[in-house]
Amino acid sequence: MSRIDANRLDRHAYGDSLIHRLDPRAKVLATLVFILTVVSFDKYAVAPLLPFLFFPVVTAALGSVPLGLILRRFAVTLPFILLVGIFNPLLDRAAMIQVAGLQISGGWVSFTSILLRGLLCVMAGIVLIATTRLPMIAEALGGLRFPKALVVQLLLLYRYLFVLMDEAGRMRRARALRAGTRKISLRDAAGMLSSLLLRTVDRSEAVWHAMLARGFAGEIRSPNRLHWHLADTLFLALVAAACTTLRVHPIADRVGEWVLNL
Amino acid sequence: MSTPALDIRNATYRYPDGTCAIEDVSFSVAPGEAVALVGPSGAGKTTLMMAIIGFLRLEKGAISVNGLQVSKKNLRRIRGEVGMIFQNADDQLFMPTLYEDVAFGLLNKGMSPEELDRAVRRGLAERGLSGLEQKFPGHLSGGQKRLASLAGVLVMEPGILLLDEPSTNLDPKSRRNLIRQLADLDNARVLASHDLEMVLDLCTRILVLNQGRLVAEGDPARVLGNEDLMEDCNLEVPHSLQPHRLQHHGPPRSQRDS
Repeated sequence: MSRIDANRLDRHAYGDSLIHRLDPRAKVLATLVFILTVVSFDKYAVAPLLPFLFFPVVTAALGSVPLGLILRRFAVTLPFILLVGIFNPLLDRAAMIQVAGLQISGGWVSFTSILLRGLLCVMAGIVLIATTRLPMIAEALGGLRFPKALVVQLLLLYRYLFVLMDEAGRMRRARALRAGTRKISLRDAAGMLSSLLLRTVDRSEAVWHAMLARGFAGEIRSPNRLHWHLADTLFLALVAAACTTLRVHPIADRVGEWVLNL
Repeated sequence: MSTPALDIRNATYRYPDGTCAIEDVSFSVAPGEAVALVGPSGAGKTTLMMAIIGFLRLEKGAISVNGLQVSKKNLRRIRGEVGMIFQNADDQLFMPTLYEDVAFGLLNKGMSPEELDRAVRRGLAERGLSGLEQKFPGHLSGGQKRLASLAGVLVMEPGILLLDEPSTNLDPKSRRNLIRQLADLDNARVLASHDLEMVLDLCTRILVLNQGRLVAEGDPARVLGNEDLMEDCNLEVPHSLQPHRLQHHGPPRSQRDS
């Protein structure tokens, strides 16, 4: 993740919009409901998943999160999603559907489904992070009785991510000053990576000491108090109702059938 | 005689590779007293501070804070008594907003939300940081970061304050402001610094460490004015203690060359 993108994502989280003002617990729960519904579909589901794009697109628009930023972040996760589904077309070659006279195997359909699910889940996650400060997400997870150790890990990860990016930025600048336009070799990259690791370990230790010096005993407490309002109940109910409806009545399939029958 | 704020007896610490970082160091600091720890890089100043706050365990000797021995079972109480300002302010400001950062230590102490809000706002106001409550600490200036780290520690009302190179990377105005603020405190203070002018401004006693050993102690002006001692310890007599030497320097080198 580039520092600029991480900062921008973090800056968006400090914004003020209808979505930003919702209780983080409502947003976390709504995102969980959305993700669980999306992954619960049949492995060949493609058309029934399409209406689900509505949720991240609308919440991003209401939260003033640029779609370009979301898609750039999705591009970073794309290799991992591709890795999950790339072997499907090789393993499942039986023809499943025909489009414009072209036979398409079940493997390609399930691969498309994995891509679409990945897109939906990552989009929902990014919209959540871009409209809710990470400490507030941690606060929400704590409030929802997630294990404390997990919540603390999340907050420390968030802090160390910036430490890592700071150090990486410094090293990159130092290299650029001396290497000019010369491309980085694999050997140099390996050396820099190990050096980066050692430097971040040192700095992380310093942050850890600073936390211990101020009484940290395994739990990061926040002065923020969460307030659940009617709007939060309505938002969660709306998302849950929409997800259930789309799961039980695959509207896109019905629309497709209707179009074919015309 | 009152209990010293800090008492160190025969402190010795070796790094895992066998290097002796501090050796047989003994001194005490009275409540409210400001003491400077000076010495060349690697003399053991930071190591000694890390031992005081309980991050390093001494090989020999003992440290006590307000009569309480620094040991594993007392660590929580010790860290309630000792506040430490680390060399790099960025490492010390780890929460997402300045308000949350200053509140961090108080929440760990179990302060109620009403008291907490009052204490945090007062702490920020005392350091001249009111209005910056919701600011991301990484976006503060160097001077503000230093004052913010000081605010986060001082709201916890420590009996003793350890300051590790507090004036590093500060511009002259921020440095002057920091000195003014530190001078107004009534906590016992141990200041490790290469900024010897700052030491002269703030401290009433100085301890010189060299290669882990305490080699001199006394009045700052007298100790820092000792040229031989300063030379032995890779230090320099502060400019304010030197006779005016400009007449011996002659014109600047660039003019001499031409």
